[in-house]
Amino acid sequence: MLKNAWDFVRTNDEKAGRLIGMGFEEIRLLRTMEERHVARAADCTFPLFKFAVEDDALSELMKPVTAGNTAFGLGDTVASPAISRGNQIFALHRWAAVKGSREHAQCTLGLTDSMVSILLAATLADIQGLCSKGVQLVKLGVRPKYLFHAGTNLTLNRQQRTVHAVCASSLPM
Amino acid sequence: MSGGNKNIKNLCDLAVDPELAVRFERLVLLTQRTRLIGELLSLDWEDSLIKRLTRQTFEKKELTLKTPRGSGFDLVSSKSISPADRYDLTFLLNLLYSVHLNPKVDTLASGTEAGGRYRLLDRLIYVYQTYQRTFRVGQDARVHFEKFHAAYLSFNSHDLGMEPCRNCSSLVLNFGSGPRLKCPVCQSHGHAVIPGKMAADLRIPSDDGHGSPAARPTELRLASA
Repeated sequence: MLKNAWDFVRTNDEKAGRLIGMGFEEIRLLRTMEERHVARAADCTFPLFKFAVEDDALSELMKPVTAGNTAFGLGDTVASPAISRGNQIFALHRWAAVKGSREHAQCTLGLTDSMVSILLAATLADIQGLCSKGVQLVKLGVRPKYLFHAGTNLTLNRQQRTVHAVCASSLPM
Repeated sequence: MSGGNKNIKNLCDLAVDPELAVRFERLVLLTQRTRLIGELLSLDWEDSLIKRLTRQTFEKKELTLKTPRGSGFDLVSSKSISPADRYDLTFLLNLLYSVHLNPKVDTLASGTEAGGRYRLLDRLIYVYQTYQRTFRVGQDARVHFEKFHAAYLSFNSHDLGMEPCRNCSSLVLNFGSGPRLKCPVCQSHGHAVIPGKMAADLRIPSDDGHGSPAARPTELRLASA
């Protein structure tokens, strides 16, 4: 997913990058990264992306489209295929993962209690419906300095990158 | 109820509660201290029964049981945490708090609802097992489960705190009062120090020297240097 985001921000302008859930700081940094930096930063066992929407919005987005709630998404933009592809990979993975372990879903995937309950109750059709609404569901979960250090520090191994990703993605306590 | 009858009743309770049995087994593989096992699982069992079941679990898994001695950890202090421990505990606490815990519901305090208590215990166990997997350690881990539990309690009572590192953005373990310590992540990983002016406009310098002048590799020095 990081490679897809990198591909997109490299070939589009900064404003388009914002459409796929990236901040300006992340976009500027990603644009200066080379493929080997991206590959190194992505090589860790902790997920680098998380849900961009809050619990309530996720619950709302799960509802089928009716005449009353058609105003979802950004419409057709240059980012639509990238958003759709990212959403599909991300949402299907999270949906499958919550069925395994609640602790894994919360601690590793960063899902709240309500998100876990929403995803547990969802069917495959609900997830496909969620992805088709054109809403950017995914955002970068780690802070940009992770990408910088993990991408440039040649001495790091996968375990160290995992530790850094965990420490650079948790919420302020 | 006599000791023998009470033990039989407790074993029956365990047999009819598979969730408790699984939790017991997972916990005793991480800590063998009977007082802590009893406390975390809210058991009023005799120590001898907990010890017997712990021994059986280890025999079943074909592992060597090393019975702990002494009173164990209650709280951790700056003196009981080495720089290496700080690195490991930073990882453990970050993973534990990757989603906010509700302090009113998810607590180990006695007298609280069992659901929240077990939810938190399961999370502590999961986080510790993830630590063992990530660091590829077993019973020989630098930070034992008891120390992690004690660090969690100290963090809850604000004796320990987490603060962001300006260089690598990690939230790192620090002591509530006292001097600011070096970031264990930067130290252990040997991260380059990002100069202040470059941090505002973070970019990776290209190999041919192009890019932000502030970002030239010559200006980056190792954090450990």
